[in-house]
Amino acid sequence: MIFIGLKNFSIASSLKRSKSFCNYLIFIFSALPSVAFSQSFTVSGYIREKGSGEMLGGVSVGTEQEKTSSNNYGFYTFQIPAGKRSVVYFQAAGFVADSLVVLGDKDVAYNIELLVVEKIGLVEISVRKSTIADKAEMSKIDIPVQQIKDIPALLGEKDVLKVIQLLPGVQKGGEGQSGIYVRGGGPDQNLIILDEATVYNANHLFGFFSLFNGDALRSVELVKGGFPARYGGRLSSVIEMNMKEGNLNKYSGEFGIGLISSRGLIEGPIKKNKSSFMISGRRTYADILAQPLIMAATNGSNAGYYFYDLNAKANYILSDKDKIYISGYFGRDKFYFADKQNGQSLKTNFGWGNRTLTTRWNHQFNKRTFANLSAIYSHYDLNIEVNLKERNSPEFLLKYQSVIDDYGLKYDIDWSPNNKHKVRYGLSAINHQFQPSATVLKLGPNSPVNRKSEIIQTYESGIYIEDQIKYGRWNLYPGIRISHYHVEGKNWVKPETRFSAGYQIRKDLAIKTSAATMWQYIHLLSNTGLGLPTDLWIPATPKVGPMKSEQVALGIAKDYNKGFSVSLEGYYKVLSDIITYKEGASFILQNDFFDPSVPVNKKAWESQVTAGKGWSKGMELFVQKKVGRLSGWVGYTLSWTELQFDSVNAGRKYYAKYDRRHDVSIVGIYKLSKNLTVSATWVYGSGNAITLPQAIVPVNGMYPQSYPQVWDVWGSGGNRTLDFGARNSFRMEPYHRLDIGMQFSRDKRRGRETIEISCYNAYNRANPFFYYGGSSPDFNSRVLKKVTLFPIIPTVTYSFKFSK
Amino acid sequence: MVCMVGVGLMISSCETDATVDPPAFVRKPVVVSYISPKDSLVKVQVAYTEPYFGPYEPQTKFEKSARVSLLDLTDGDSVVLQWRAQDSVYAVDSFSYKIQNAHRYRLLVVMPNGEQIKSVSTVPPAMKSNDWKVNSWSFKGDTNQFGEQVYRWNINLENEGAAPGFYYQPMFSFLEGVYFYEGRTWADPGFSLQKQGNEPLQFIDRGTSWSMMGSGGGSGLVEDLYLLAWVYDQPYQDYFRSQFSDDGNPFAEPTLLHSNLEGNALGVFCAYDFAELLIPLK
Repeated sequence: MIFIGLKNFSIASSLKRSKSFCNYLIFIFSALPSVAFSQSFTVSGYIREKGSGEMLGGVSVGTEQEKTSSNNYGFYTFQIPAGKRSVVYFQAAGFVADSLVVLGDKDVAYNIELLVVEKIGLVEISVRKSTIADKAEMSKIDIPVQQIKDIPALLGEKDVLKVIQLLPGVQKGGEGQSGIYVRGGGPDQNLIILDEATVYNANHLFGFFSLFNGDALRSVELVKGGFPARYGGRLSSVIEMNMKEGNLNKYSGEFGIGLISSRGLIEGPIKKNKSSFMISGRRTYADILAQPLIMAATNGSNAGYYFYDLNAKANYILSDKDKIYISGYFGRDKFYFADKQNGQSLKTNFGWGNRTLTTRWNHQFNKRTFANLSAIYSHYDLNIEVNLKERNSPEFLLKYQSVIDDYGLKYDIDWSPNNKHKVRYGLSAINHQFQPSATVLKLGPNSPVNRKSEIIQTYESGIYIEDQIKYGRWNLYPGIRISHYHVEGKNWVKPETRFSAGYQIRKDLAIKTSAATMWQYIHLLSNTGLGLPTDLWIPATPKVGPMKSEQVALGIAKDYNKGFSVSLEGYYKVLSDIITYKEGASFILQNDFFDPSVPVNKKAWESQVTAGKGWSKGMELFVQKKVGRLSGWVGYTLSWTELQFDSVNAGRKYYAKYDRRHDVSIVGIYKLSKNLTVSATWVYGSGNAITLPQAIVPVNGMYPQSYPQVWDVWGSGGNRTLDFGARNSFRMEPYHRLDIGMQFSRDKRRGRETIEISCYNAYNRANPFFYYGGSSPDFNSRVLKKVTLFPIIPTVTYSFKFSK
Repeated sequence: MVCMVGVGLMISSCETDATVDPPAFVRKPVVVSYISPKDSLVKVQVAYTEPYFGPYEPQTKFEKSARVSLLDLTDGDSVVLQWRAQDSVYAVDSFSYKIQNAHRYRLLVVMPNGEQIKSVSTVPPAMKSNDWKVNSWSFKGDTNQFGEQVYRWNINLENEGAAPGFYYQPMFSFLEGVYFYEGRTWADPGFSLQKQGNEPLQFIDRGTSWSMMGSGGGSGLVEDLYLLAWVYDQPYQDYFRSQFSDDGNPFAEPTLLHSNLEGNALGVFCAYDFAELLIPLK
């Protein structure tokens, strides 16, 4: 317990010290509730993790009567009544709660450090107050990073996106895939942000692993409805991830050896209590280990695949009120093949990668106002290169490149005039530079044919204001965002209204509702729906406009003892102007692309797509336990997702590929002791909807003169065509799988080691990956075949955490 | 290292195939008929769909016992078509029953089980020779990236007499005396245009002719345009687009086979016409 003395404070004196225009604006905003200020004092400061000095966001701060929470940068501000002794509590799941006694006679600046439960050897703490029922937000889930590490994973590679797939309302695309579908939205409708930078392709190895290395992350949050106004640009979800800042006090690190990759992290102070850094990296090594075997088996050819990623972050505390951060992500996947013999040389490379760089400046204007300015760069590219050289033949060279570059600025202000209001407002601007396809083709001495398409410049900006209002038993969360988009002389200005409300029937029971309108100015063209790197990101254009979603949700949330919480939500979402490929269209675009006499059509895809509508409705049950020996959750989703495009399926509605009637996930993590943790997940999902040929339609000899015969794509035999029936009218088999894991940890002289034994697909279920038509063994009939990717896969990984 | 390689081999051998139950098959009648004033036979095929999955059935199952009739809704003339075994179609020759431009026809197929399949189609109006004209054109010799001789062409064709509701599509070659150079010589429903408003139809096209067809030499000094001009109705366009829109691309999105038949059947009843024209190039 800490007692703090008195100090007078007035807005007027604060304003005198303020010279900047920003502070002037803040004063204007502050003017209305100034009467309230005169009857209260402020407790404000930063909340950090004890030991590492990491800033803690989302920590509940308040008294028995009122509460607020710290922002992403650990800053909190809370008003206490004047002349009255108050106890202010600080609590967060996984941390030991702390409190502060203040006398109510002056403003208090107080930075607090919370201790991780694990560090004092506890496996269970009593959480003094629950959190789910007293928040206005709904459809928002925080995922403790430790849980991500405890959940068994494919080949031991801990994966944030695959854990998100286990949450209700979120579905995966296919076996082992990281692509996610939230409440009926496609994978392009998820805003995935890492330290405020948008990540376009969040997958390694065609989606089997995600980019995000759990070691480097501090927080992960999923918002799938009731979106706060500060988020914009995507229709269906926001996945916000923040990297660790680095230990301010001492050097520490972690390294791990897995079956396909190794990883390492090191963090520590650059200048103690002033500045710190964190670097985390991961690389697969199958290519290095398998290279001798491949070369021996292929008579000297060199082939392989690897991916790597590197997260780095540094921060510097300039003063009590100013802090700067620089963080970046650099990751790449690469397939390569090289062969040289008999005067012939062939080199093939296929790679894709993301780069992000974020620079942030936190500034605390006063005890109630906190601001952050971010400069953000994000890059995604896909490269394919084929080079063939033969003696006495012209060189063949094909280079294909698809690139997106984003340059953005973002300014956000948190302002808490009193405990009943928590206002956030700000603005953002992004310049997107799209180069959907650039190709260099060299076929002979008169080449190369450079088919570099022009860069499409677009500008997206937004201004927003939102307020968290506490009014009696009501928690209200209104907000509005005005988004603006400019491309090729055309502008869109769209208001996006956001509203959430919660009514506390009892302290531990609340009903909630939300409504949100979202606009998205970018599309992803995909034939597969799997989120492959070949999928094409394209901007909204005057011909293919932006997409819109409108979502309403209603729910009930209840907290129980021992950290249990239950929520039940129903939602209804309408998607407008979503796009899909027309029937018969594909990502292979212009037929005459390599004919230099034909000008490059930088928007050839525009003629391949059609716009339509989508509807998604469903119900989600989420039972979660975040703390204690046993933690985890049970999620169940009942949902329907339908699409309608005028030029697809004869204009009739059809179920989306990822329409899934039932989706169940059960996640359990049990800490048997300080050194032994067991975990298991079980998932079940109704089969995906797909389109298969159902009948052969004879059209023998029934073509008019001069027309070509039917191309025999599916092997139907000449003079026949195929009837695929209604779009997505066939259901794949249901998907279910059990993963189990066990972690043994023990303290060593210089740190703590952990050995994890896990088993993916423990009962060896042959889950469908895709279907195709093949021949029976006697070649007398055509049969439907199911391809299964992963049988039971046991894995052992080793990791070691050390600190100096 | 052995462990790592072992895991790699295990993963690479994970992919397995298994046979599963295919979609339930429901056999449907298939009726296909294109009518044209240019055809010597008016033909209607009546057959059945075959299961895609299951034993291969190389032989199409034709229905020989249906009653197939055509009614000219414009002048009331009707005919019952007879089974013609050599072509596996129901047919009537154009001397007995003449398909006429701008007439509307109704097809009625009564299956042996009494099920009725019917549809209506309108034959396009006849094209006139002066409907088509060449607004501009060029035809130039060039060398491609392999060092070969090619001819780059572009053309602007116009049709002034197009009838509303019908699709027009030109196919053409460039002529130099007895020799010809290929222009657009393939059918492409994507290149067809339907009349909108009062503006004439404009076909702007460009391409490369790789070589001259015919024996002997050619100089590239083309003199005439050989034009095969097609016109067809909406069901024709929709049916062909649904069959050919994937252009043989196995990665293409599946296409719902269009049908304009009433009743539980697949297929099409549609009408077309064409004209062959020789337009001097000035």
